[in-house]
Amino acid sequence: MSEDPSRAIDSLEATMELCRHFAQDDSEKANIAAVDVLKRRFGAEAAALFYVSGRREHRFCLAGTEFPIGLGEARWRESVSRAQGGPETARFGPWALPVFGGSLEFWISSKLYSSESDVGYLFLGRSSRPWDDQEELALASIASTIAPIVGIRINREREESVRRQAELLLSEKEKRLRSFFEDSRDMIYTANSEDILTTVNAAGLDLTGRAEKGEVLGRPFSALALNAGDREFFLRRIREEGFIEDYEIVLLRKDGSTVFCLETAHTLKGEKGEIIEVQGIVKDISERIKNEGELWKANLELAEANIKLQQTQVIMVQQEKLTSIGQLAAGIAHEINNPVGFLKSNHVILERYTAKLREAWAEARSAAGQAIGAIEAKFDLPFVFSEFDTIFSESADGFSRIMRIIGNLKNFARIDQGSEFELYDVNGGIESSLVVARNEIKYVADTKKSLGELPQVKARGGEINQVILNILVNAAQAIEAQKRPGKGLIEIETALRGDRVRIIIRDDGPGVPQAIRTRIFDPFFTTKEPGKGTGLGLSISYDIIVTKHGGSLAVESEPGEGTTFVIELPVAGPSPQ
Amino acid sequence: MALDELLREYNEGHPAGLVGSRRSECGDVVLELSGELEMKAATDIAPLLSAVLHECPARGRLVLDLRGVGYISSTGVGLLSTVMIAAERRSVRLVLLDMPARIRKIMDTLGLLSFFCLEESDE
Repeated sequence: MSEDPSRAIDSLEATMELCRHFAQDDSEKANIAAVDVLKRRFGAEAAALFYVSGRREHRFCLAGTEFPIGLGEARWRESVSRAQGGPETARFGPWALPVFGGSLEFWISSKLYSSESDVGYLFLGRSSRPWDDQEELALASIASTIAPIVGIRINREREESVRRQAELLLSEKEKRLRSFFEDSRDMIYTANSEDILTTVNAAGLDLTGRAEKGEVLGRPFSALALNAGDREFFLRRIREEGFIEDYEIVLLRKDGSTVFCLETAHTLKGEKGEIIEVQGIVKDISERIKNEGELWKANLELAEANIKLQQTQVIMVQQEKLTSIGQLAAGIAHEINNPVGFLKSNHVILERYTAKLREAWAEARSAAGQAIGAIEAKFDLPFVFSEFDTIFSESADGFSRIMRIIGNLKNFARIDQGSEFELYDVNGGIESSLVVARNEIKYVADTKKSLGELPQVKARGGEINQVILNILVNAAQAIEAQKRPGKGLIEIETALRGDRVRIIIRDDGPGVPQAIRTRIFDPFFTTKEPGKGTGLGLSISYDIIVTKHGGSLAVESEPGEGTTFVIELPVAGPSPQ
Repeated sequence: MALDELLREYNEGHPAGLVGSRRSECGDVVLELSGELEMKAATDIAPLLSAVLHECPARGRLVLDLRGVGYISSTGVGLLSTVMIAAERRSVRLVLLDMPARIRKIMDTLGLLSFFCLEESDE
């Protein structure tokens, strides 16, 4: 059938008008405008375009309305079934459009084909007259022209919808990841291959005590660590193994405080295995470490207290022993003081009586004459009388020495003083101590004293004497240990230095090696053979001089050049605490 | 078991060789620790230190030379504390020799430094 030229021109104009609408409007409203045109151009009472939108919604656009109308899929399929299958165009009726309007007598439909598939269906309806062949041809022509346009628009909308959906999903994922990153209670960071921080979350700022990300990003991670070197170990491990788990690091906050952290991290590597990025999570474990630290500290304190208690017990026992020895010596001195006293007194009387006897003998000799001379010769009396002076003189000296030793022994222990600080004669104390130590010293060393003029100091004399005795005996034992051919020398000097009395005891023994010089005042430290020393003498001495008397006790020594102990005591006694 | 034997056994099981030993001029046992004193190393070395401690004579000294230790974790600090306590119980003086500054900082931060006897070598 040939087409009427005027109708062909109408069809062409209708097609152009439709194309203009589609060109001007990207939205689905263009479909409404299209069916408006078709309704007008074809003199229809109703015109509709059924299609499946890009978002897979089943819709139709009705001429004279404002918006596309959605239909359930079943109803939509039922509606278009008249146009589906069969030829390109169809005429049928009566029929009513879904949702709107009443039934119309005559309908014509046309499929919109695009790329071998239906993209939509056009429906035109009227009751005034049936559709003729020319109209059917015109509709088919228009349909074939606009089908690709409608198809492209639907496809574009479909693609747009898929893209929007993908973007939405991506955005949702990113939002979740961003929330996971930013809201994490632990620090999450990334750093580049040079360990320069490139990302950090809010917890990272809290942990490092920074307010702005700019204070952290762009800086090396090591700048946040208490020990920059610890990061080197971390990087070496992560380069070797690609990950690191539960690595402890201490971060230094901006305010100078520290945070103990546990870090787990891994690397992103490039094709050649080079590190592109370090990604890590850093957890604050300060509370745990603080608790552990407190526990360690408590245990260490307990152990220290325990050992001190044990040492104090031993030292007390040792001090008690020393005190007892001093007291024993003083007790013996006191006991022999009285008999020696009357022996000395009797000795003086005996000397006086002997002198009288000698006078009497001289008188008797001059009165009796020759006879007594024989007796005198027989008993060698001139010699006996001449020895009297020597004997009495030597005995008097012996008595004096005994009395001095007794005095020194009594003075050494100072049992009458108790624990009070009283005036004490340092030089006298040295003399007493030398007497007590004489037996230890006399076979191995000579002594040389240079005692200056000193004021009396406020001290517990018995304790100071113990210190001096201890140093003297140590010096003698050190010299003896050398097994040298001759005797050694122990020098004792005293002098007043400001408000302190200085006692120097110097020996020319083997000296103290540098390695143990700092330890000789430690309790139980001894270099003597077993049984010769407890290692408490100098420890107790240090306690007496430094702790109890507020003085000082120092040692100067070089191996092979002897040892010098310097004691200083405040004249006024220890300062009140 | 003798000290040398203990060390040989330990170092055979730890090829990285975390521990060396020598005697000081005073006759003290000196263990030279090296590497990283982190959780695994600290856990591994604890029995060795305990055994060495039992070989030390009472009133003797055990010296841990820390010059070669590059890193210490809290487990490492805990190990030193535990050895210190065990040493005091045995009347052995534990000395930490040449403690690197970074370890010193950690110990100080934890308030534990004052409990230890630190010494510096003359070199």
